[in-house]
Amino acid sequence: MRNSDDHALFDEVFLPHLQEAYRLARWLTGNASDAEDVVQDAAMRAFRAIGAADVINPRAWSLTIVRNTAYSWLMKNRPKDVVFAEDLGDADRRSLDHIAAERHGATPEDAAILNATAEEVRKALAALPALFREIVVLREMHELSYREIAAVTNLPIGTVMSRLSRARQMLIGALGQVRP
Amino acid sequence: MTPSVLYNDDLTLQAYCDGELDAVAAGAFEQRLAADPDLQRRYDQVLALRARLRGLSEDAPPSDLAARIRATAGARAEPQHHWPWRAMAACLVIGILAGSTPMWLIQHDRLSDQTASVIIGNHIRGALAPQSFDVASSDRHTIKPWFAARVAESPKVPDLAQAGFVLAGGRIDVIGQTPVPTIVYKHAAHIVSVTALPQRETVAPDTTIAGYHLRSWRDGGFVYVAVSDIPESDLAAFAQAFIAEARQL
Repeated sequence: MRNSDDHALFDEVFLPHLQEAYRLARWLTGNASDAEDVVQDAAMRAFRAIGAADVINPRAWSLTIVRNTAYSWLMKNRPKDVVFAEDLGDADRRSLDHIAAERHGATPEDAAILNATAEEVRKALAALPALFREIVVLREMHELSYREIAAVTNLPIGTVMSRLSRARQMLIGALGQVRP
Repeated sequence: MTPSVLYNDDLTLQAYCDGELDAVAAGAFEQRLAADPDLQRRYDQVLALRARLRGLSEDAPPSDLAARIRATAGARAEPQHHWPWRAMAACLVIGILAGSTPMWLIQHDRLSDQTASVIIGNHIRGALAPQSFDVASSDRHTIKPWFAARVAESPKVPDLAQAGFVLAGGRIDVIGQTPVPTIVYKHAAHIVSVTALPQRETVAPDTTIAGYHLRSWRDGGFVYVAVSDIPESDLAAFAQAFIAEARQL
């Protein structure tokens, strides 16, 4: 039995961020029931860690646990979804950029981004490799700063910036292609 | 066409869009942006993309998720709302002393612990962020309309510079599913956040959670909740000044 301080701390640190935790898990796993599993699992991890943790930023701390839990879940259940940047060869990187650039070339107007349906936007985001998707989600949906994203993903800020740039380029390319 | 923008320029552009450039760099970049159509186009694309992404609706977590998590974490199944008796007694005394201000009188229902916790969370987040508000202004005539454009009812935004609390800006916080306006004041190196909750919320006795003092009162159509790490007596003075000044508006 844990002491009541841990419970109080858990209520104060993790639970207020439940909605955001769920949203992040939803984007990383791609569906509601898996998101729920991930959040439950993350909550358990948070609860176990909370007594010993020195939590300075409860929101970032909670999101970090959810993000890491989601990655473990992805590795176990959908290993193909998780492509690490280190595994992407230069050629692959070029082709990703190339596809994005080519797709975008098909559209005359930026208005295509605005014309895409919500479903198309959702699909384009869901289709990004997880390591790009998470950066966009943390930045645009959770509105975290670069520094916070770097803390949550345990990446250098420079990597956060370059992935965010590339992820946006891919999205713009993909959405540009929707309405030629 | 994909605008031909150099990689480094693109990173600067992204940082600009994300509010990560300091004022000097942002100013310099704005000049370049104005002079470079390719850069301008890329900028428009990033902002259009942002608008679309932020416009996506999000599923809320199942309503019983928190309860289930509490249960599995071995925590209390029910949130216990307990404000310390001593604080309640103190509040009652204050309520009696300040008989002319009935809003101090104790209410049997309370601002829920959860709401208090979210408000403090927002305050902490604000204090850690590069800026603790979405609109920066020391002019109440700027902040009030900014709120009015975003929430159904705009709270009173008194100017408290005379009392030593300088208006710093405003932001919209979200509690549960409800967007609520929060006014940010600066007091020396400290920040005071005042969140205006809808009238159906109830006033709580003063309390302190994790080193942050919390004080609430009812005025007009809102329940105002002030949070800060300034001494309790200073926060009390702040609340008095806010109420007095708001009456004039």
